[in-house]
Amino acid sequence: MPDDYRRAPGVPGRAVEKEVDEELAFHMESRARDLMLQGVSEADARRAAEREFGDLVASRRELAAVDRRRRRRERVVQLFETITQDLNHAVRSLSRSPAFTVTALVTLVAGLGATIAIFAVIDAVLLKPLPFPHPDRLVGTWHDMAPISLYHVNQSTGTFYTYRTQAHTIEGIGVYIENAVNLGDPLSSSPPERVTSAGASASIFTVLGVPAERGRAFNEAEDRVGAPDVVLIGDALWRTHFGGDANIVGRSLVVNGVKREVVGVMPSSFRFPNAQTQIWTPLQLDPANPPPTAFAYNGVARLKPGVAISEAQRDFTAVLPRVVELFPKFVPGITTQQIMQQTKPVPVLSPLGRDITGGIAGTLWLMGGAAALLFIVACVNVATLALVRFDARERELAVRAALGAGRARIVSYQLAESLVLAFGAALLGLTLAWLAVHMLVTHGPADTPRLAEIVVGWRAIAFTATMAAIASISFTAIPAVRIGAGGVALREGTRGGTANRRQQRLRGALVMAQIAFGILVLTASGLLLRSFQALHAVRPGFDAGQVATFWVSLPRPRYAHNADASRFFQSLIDRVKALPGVQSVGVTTRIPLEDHGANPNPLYPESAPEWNTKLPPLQMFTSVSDEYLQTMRVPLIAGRYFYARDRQPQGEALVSLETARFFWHDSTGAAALGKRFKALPSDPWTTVVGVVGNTRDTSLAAPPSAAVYFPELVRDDSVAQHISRTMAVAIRTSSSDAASILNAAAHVVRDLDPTLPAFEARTMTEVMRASTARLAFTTLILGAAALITVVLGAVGLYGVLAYLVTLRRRELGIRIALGASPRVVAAATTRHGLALAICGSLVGLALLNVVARSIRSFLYGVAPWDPVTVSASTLLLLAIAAIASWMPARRASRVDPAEALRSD
Amino acid sequence: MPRTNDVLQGTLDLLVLKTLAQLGAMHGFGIALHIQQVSNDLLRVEEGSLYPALRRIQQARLIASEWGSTENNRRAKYYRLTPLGRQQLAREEEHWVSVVKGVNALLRYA
Repeated sequence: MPDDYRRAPGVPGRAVEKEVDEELAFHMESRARDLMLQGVSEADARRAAEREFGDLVASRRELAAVDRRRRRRERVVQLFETITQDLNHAVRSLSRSPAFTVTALVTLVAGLGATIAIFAVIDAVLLKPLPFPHPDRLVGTWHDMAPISLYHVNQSTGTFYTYRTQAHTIEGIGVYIENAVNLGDPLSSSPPERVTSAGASASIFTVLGVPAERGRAFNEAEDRVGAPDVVLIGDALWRTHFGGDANIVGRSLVVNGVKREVVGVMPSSFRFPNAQTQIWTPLQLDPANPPPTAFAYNGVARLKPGVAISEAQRDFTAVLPRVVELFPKFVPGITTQQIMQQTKPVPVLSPLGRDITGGIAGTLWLMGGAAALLFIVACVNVATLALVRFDARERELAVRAALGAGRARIVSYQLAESLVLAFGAALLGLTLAWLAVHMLVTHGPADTPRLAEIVVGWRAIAFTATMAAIASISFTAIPAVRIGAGGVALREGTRGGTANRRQQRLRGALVMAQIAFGILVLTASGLLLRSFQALHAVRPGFDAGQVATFWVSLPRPRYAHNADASRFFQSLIDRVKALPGVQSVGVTTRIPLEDHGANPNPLYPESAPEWNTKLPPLQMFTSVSDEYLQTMRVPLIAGRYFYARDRQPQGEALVSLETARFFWHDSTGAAALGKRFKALPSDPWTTVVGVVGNTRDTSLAAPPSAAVYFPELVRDDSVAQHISRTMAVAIRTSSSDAASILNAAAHVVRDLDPTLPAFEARTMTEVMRASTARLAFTTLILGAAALITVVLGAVGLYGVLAYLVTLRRRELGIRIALGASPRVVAAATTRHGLALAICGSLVGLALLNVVARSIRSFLYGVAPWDPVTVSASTLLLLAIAAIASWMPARRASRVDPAEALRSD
Repeated sequence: MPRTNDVLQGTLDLLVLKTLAQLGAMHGFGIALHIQQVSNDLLRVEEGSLYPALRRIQQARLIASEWGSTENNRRAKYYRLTPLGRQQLAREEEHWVSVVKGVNALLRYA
């Protein structure tokens, strides 16, 4: 009998000594016997043997020690060998049933791959702390203004300085503003370009706590009006524009026509306020002379250690009223007192992470939910398959049990197979996820916060291992319970037993659960799809076809006088209009559905003086050239468009229908014509000369905004009030080749001023597509998840039905032999399948009710209970269920009664 | 006559391995008896060196042990060669032959 250490009785140490004793005793006895055979008397022989052994007995402890050490080592080796053996066996066993293994692997890879990819995204964007020291102490500072229904409003110069000097719960506060600048130097050979930048107070860098990798950030002295012009650049810009010059500090850069000295380089990990920012300039705010832009600055504060957000918020609320006495001037013409009374701002602090990622959090958790469901469905599927396989191998396992394998061993065989499956799938899934993340980072919606930080790294690997472990346990659980309860016995005729019926019900229940999840995800993605369709059906108020756009920004130093800017734009319009294929051209400060240029402002109508004491709803102030609205085909409802430049005086405006309806209470717009209004109390009156149709400005889902249009270009003897230097050019062409038109237009710009880049050149169709990019992406992902989940559910259903047919072959054989038509028999199977599908769907729809509220925020134009979507997805699912039932039904109808009765 | 201990220490491993190769599996007493009988009493293995040697050789995985029963149905611990042991035996035999040649050559040198 082989040395079986696991059967060693009692305390292992004692057993070893006993064995040594036994071995030596045998030797001694044999020696004595040998001597007796030679004629020595028994007593003498014994004594001689003992004498020879004297030393040996004393050293038996050493022998025992040596034996003990050897055994310990061999035990470890054997454990290792058992594990390797089990795994080897598992691999061989799995490769002997390729159908099961491939199905299980594919299912698991789909489930795991999706889950890992989405985990990587959620981890990087939502879970990982921001890359700043002590990020939990960083907060964004905002204001809520309930009286005018504005929330999450920025800082003004006055509030910033008030908090800075008066609040005692913070270490520091800084403000910043996101913008973009022209990088162009008439003396340099490189073409001008547009770079994302930020204006920042010097305190931002101390608050965030990230030091420059070269040089330094700006100091307080450089943040004051009149200080020398400096600039901070990013690592990427340093490498591309300065070739990574080690003597970068002190070199200069022409930014928006102003020569600025580089004081430092920020590391590439510093992606603030967003990943594209490469230039930071000092804001140089002077609270005594605030600029006309009111609440425009994003604030970031660092709390003192140990201070809770609520405490800091109370502190801010307490000090805010002091702004009235400290900084009485708010904007030219309006006092701080007035603003405080009208808006009643309440400070709100929120963790900075939420500010940066807040918008996308909901979407990510939605995707996470879908992935989790997919994973569960995949595991259930494989568990079901494993259960079937276990049943099929019950004989083989029973033989093993008879040969001495304990229950624990059999469970460990199952576990070994599950582990091989799960971790094999995990490796493949990890690779898939890595690919998916790579594609996401390069091609995903570019405005996704922290996109560049998404990576499949150690945390993802740990997550994968955990998920694989969970999966393996779930596959082994059910067979293990069965083994633990009743052991594995060689039983004949187990088919048709009650145990099997109970198991079939369990499988049926599992399949129903899968179908429930399937229809949940399917309906959800159907709803998103319909939202997408609805958004696309929204009439934006303009005609996006055949319109190409690009932006130009004239730096103030080169275009100091309004007349210079005006002349530039007129020349630009004239020259672009002369290009072949161009039908009309217009310039504007704001393109619908694009982010920049939004300028919400109050409007004080002459005929409604009650608004003078309240803050009227904000209107989108836009400056346009005479042909812009016609280029965009925004319809004229009443009055007229602007005149051409040489005839257009200042002091006139066009309003949107929404504005006319709100202030002058006339849906035809006629009542607004000739009425006057002011933007600021110190402004002269402006007269409404026309009413145009509403356009969707912020997004397709938002209601059309109320807008007011001012003429950018006016007669030479007037001075345009609302002239802007950053304008978009909209070109309506007869050709569909947008690229060549934009190219030609860029050339025109270069001819007019070689230091100006023409940037963000896109067609309006692209702009519209980009505005729904995130929803499109979410729909795509959810749709893919739904497809996989439904397919898995169908596979599960197929499995259950197929097994049922096999189980009931005898019964079916009898039925057919007794004259039942095969079609009836097949129909019974199909009915069973559909019954399972319908029950599953009902459960799924009940679940939909539960999650309806959370998905409502993603939908547009369709309710979570939309009957069209619900019925469509249910019908689709039932159709798939019918297909899944088809093959087993066919097999049922093909049962040969003679064979069925003979077998088993 | 040199003390059996000195000579045998170096060659004891060889003797044990060769014995097991010749006998297949054998217990400790049987190994000692075999060596004594085959060498016509010229070599006598002392028990005090046999069992530590067996442990040492087993530690080196040249032999393996298992409990068995003799013809008289008494329990004894049997040892047998492992494949590794077989390889080592061949090496030791070669080594022994070259040592003997060398010593003989020196002794014959006048």
